[in-house]
Amino acid sequence: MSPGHSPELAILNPTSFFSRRPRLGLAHLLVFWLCVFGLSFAALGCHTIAPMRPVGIDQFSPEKDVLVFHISIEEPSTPRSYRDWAQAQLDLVGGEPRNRRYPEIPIYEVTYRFRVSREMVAEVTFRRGDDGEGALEHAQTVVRAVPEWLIKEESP
Amino acid sequence: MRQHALSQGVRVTQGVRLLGLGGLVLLLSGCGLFYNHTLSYEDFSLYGNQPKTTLRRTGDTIQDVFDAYRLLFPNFEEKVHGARILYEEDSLSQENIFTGDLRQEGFYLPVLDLIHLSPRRPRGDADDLSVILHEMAHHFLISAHSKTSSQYWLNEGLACCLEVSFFDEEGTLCTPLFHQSLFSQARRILRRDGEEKFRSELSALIGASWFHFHRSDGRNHNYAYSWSLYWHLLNQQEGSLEERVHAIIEMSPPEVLASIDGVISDLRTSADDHLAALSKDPDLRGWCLERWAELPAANGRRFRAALLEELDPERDPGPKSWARATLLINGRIRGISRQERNLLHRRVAKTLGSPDTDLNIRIAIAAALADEGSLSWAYIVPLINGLEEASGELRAASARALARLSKQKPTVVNPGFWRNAPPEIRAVEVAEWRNWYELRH
Repeated sequence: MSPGHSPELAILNPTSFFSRRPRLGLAHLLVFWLCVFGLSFAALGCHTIAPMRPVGIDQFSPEKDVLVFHISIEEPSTPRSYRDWAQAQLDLVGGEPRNRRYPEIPIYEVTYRFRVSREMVAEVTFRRGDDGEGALEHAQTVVRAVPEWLIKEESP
Repeated sequence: MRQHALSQGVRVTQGVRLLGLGGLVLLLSGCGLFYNHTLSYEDFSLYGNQPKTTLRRTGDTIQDVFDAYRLLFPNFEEKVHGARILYEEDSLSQENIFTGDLRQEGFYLPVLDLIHLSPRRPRGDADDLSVILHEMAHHFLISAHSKTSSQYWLNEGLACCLEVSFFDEEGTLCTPLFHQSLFSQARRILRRDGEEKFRSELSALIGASWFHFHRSDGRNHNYAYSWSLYWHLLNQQEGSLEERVHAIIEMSPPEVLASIDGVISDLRTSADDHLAALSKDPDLRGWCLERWAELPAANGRRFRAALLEELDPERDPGPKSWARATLLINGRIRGISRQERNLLHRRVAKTLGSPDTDLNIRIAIAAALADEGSLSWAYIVPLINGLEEASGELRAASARALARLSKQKPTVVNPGFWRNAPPEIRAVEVAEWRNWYELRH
């Protein structure tokens, strides 16, 4: 350490740090980060959620201005992905889906029900404002608790 | 070495200074640095990230609870400090995405007079209220009787008794104190574990530490144990609620332990019997009816009698009572014969269809049918007539109810259409409904 060098600066100066313990510092840092990542993965159970893969879509029109879609998917997904997928479907038709039997009536409410093996896992609803005007907007997404048997085991 | 130690010392001092400065800034700013909005009320400051109007609504409810608790506990009042209340929603809830995960909905830190609320939506305002009532009960009790802060069974017992309270139509806080879900849970535990284990678990809670109460394996049952013990003790005392609460605080541990047989005896009595006793109070009858409907095997005869009393014209039931009755009659209440249920349907339908009925009651009934309607032909004609009424709200609610009741005939449910569309366009829909009814009959 050079004379007159402030002790605090010496500690904070990276060159002086590495000059004292060059290899050990890097190795420690590497091991530390590996441990952190390793523990994080262990805590999360290394579970990866696959992107949603619809295997079938059915449309129902219980009312003239209400549409309900039943979407069969292979396995449950994350809460936001249901909303995002439904929003993307709505965007595909310019946010204005139509009931084929009553094309002249604007749709008031659209619901997407997601099912895995006939078990409903989530429901996303878009609705116009209380005055019935404006664009269809996300009203709510309700994600049901997924039964254990619906969660596929990852093959080793 | 000495230089190294010196530099470490300087670093520690700097860190302490930085922490001190941070603490001072936080103290001076309250919690405002962390939240977008701060609302100041007479008795508390509310911090949150929600839009100000939403936060204001919650703040008003909290102030109502403060005011109501002041009336309930007039002698506590002078010792109750102002509180800091943090209102938080998780990021999913903010986006109106709701999951069924169980999580903590609030906690209270007595040292800082800090209440943290994170109610789950979309269960409704009633659930927000129950979390507020619960945490505020801790604040009132511990502020007035600081020694209770380490008596966890006593604190949670009172908070659970008060969290089932509700504001009636006049804005008065009604306190039934009977927590049906904790009662059922305690009964299940008693049935499963037997009296001996129940007694020993409950005894262990009397002097339990925070860690034992909130972190032990059986923590999920501790609220049920605490509520059942506290509720029993309250029922044993006489006087105002405040006097009874005070008497329980003054009880010695052996006195509390001596009452466990009474707790077991309370749990041996059915919820049906407890509700029947509570429903004699006209202020609590409506609340009891809702709890009754949640029972898997309710006594239909008692339920029906209480429901008819609730709808007694001499009581002049308002929109809330009629809406509740409509939901219950159309709901899953068991123990009522089909004939009795049909009579109740007709009674509601008659009120809905009568032009003499208060408009708000008619709208409330139609809105309740839209939520929980079951197909009874008694409702169809009043609802079709409702589509032609002068009130746009009644027309919109009737259309929604018809859509729910009749699965066969598609209609327009957009409330904007029924409120604002020209009469000649609405008339086409009404004519369709009338034709459909003619064909079905």
